[in-house]
Amino acid sequence: MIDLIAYTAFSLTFAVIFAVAALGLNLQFGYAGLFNVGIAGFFAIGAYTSAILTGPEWASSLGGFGLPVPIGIVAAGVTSAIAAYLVGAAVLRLGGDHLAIATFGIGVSIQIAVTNLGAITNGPNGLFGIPRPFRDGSALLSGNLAWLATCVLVMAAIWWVLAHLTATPWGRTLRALSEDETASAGLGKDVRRFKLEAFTIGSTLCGVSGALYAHFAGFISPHDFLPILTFQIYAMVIIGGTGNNLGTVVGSVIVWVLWSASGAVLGSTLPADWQSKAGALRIILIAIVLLAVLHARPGGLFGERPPGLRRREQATDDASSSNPEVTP
Amino acid sequence: MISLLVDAVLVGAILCLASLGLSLAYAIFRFPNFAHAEFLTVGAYGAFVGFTAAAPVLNEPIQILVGAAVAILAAALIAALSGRIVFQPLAARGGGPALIIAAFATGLLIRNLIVFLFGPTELYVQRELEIAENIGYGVRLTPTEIGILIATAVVIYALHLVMSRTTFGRCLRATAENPDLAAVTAIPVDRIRLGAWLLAGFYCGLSGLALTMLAPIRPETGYEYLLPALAAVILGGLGSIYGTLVGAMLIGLAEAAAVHYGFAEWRQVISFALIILILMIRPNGLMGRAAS
Repeated sequence: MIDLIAYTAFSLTFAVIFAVAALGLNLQFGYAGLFNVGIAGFFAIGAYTSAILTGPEWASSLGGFGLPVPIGIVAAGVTSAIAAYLVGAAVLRLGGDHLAIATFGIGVSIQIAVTNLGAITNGPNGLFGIPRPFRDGSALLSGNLAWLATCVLVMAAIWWVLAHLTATPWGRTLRALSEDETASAGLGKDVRRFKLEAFTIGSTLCGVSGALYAHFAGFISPHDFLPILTFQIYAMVIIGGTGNNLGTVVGSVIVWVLWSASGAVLGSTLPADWQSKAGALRIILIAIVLLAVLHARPGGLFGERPPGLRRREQATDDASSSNPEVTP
Repeated sequence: MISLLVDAVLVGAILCLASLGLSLAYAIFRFPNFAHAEFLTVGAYGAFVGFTAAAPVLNEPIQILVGAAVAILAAALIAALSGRIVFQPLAARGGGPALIIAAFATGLLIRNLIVFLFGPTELYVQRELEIAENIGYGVRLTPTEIGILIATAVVIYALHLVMSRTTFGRCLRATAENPDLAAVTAIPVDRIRLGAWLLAGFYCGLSGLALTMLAPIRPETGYEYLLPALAAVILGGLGSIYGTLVGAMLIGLAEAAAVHYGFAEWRQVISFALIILILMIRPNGLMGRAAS
């Protein structure tokens, strides 16, 4: 029984950590319509920043700073914000599928960089022994519950801030420019600045999420930041409901439960030499669920509108009006 | 220096085969098909299956032909199925990000089906060891490499002829230009689109065959060509066959230079940097027309 609770808390903690990144993506994709397919890269920057700043001295790579974990997490937000600001300034002028290709390339390039910059990241071997507050040296159950509580608090705080941000004129402008960029620019909105701000804030959350991941898992390697991670976080946002924070968080839990439950079921039913194939089946499962949602319910469980597309203050089915409702 | 150029042409030729289908689909369906990478992988595994199955009874040239046939069939089938089941219903609803995410999901689905069926490890075909022949100026190429260069030149010219001389090619271009107008002029748009997916699959099958003949294949084989292929298509300009050829050769040159100077691991980053550069300076590519 205690094992089961500990395992549930462990699994939910991962779901909540990914929900932080999913909330960041939802700000970019759901509100501002920015199609960022490189979020795994910003997640990686956050994870490595915090791991290097707080971790022990490693034999062959940068480390030994020994800073407290909360400082590491804040620093992770800062470095991913800086990276996102620089990247955004360069690529955000691209629209639609060009932005998708460019950000996909950024995600892949960051992953290749952490694989090959061994002096900083210890290369493909990854970083072991990252400090795990509450988990190192304490009982399994209390450690996992403390983590779950902390992550839920962090996520709730971020949600609260986002809910207020998106209700301000700033948030409404984001929705307006995802609706019709030219009209927003015509109304005197500095479209590039708004996009860059949304891109930076969203990617910062991905970085914070990556740092939490590093400290919860205690081990990171370049293999954790492949494009499959970007795909999983998109699945969370889209299955839950694009442009809806509640949907995003529920979607994160659904996708993660599907992911870990299918892993547990396949792990206990398939013979040992099929285990590498079990991993493939889990990805197939998530892909089918995502494709089914895209076809049957494009707005997701809680969404009102097709993903990343036209959203209005009031959900109407009228597609004829092209004027966004911009509130000054 | 000359050997670097020959490497560049060889990499470029394979990349060109790998990019033509992507370029076609991009021109007609107007989205970057991230699942294209997995169509290549399906072609490579199809070639492996055909080549290996024919091994006990046939000699090598015929094995290669059987491999090519299975590769083309498998890749064309998977391209047509993905197009019909996944992409066209979403495109009919307006496409956009949903289409690209669906392509991402389809790619992962296919790649992991391959892992499930064939396992995650490398597979390679059993062939006689080839001896690289000296063809002058200190350039050495194996018969396979020479075959790939010739085959690439032939199929590019064939595609040019299909696009410019046949009714199917003219209908294809009309559908790419303006599907609504094409439909009212009695072009069977749906059948033309199916033909486009089959054609894209044909080129994926051929390039899969080339990949299988040159090196061991893995479930990630096609994925590693995704960024370079996107770069070649964007560099050359959408919907231009010769543009894609030029784009592929330039990316091939960049990659061969990267390997030559010891940056092999950074190859994909170089493709990506070229994508960004060209999108900033000349978004329609070197030989592209104005995008609508």
